[in-house]
Amino acid sequence: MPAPLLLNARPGDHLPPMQFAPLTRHDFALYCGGSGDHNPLHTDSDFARESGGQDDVIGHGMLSMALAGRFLTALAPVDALESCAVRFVGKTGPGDSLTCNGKVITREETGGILRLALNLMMIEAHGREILNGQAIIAVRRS
Amino acid sequence: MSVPTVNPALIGLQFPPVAVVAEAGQMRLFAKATGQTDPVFFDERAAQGAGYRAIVAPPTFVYTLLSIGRDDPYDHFDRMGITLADTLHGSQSFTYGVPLCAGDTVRFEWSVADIYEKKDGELTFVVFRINATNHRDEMIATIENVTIVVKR
Repeated sequence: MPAPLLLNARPGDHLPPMQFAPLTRHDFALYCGGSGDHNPLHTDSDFARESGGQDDVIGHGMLSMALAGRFLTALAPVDALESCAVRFVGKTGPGDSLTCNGKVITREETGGILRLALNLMMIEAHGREILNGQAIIAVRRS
Repeated sequence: MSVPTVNPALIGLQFPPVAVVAEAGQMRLFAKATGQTDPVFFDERAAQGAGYRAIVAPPTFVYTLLSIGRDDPYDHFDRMGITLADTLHGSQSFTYGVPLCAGDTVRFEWSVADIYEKKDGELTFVVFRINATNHRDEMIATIENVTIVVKR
């Protein structure tokens, strides 16, 4: 069942933000295994410094997007998600605390289907933007 | 005229299709690694109780199978003359069809949809269009990946 707050959401409404625990190298290692993205830039600090031109490992962009997905599955069942699109605008690293914000842009209801378009924005604790995008969720009202 | 970072003649390039089975253990690891907690992502009985054929994949998991299903997940860059270390992930989008469930054989058909430059050629944007279908020929997702290649 979709969260009741989704059923009552109106354009302009901010959805409850989801805050994630500070990212760790362990998170990047788990995502490396879970996703098959074995680029050492995300898991090997020596590689990141010597070959990647970074100060340390950086998080997978797709991990940030997956956390946006986590935000969305808290709102509605996964099969209610019609689309999700993001732009990656900032890097993540160990220690970054991410928060996903969502705002309702449009709401339409036809044939018992409630369809909401959301703006998504992932920010880090100092306000740095990590990604932004849109998602469309469609749920059957019953 | 400087040589383009990525040859624009590669627009339209089709890669060999990839077929891969979505394994429950891999899906559980992905769900754990990305903070999911709903039992539909971990437990077959819970998933079936919610109307899925088997445990269901979190929203972005399908894309990972395109890497998992190949011996070298970066061979498409090699084929295009792109160096992995020069790439950034610009954007990613998913348009969804049916849910992806454990045991599905996912087939990917994918190609280079566009290549364009910005900032006087400092950045080259490569757009990959990826269609994922299941073994019932149902569309799971249409995926667009935009990779940015930085000129060295």
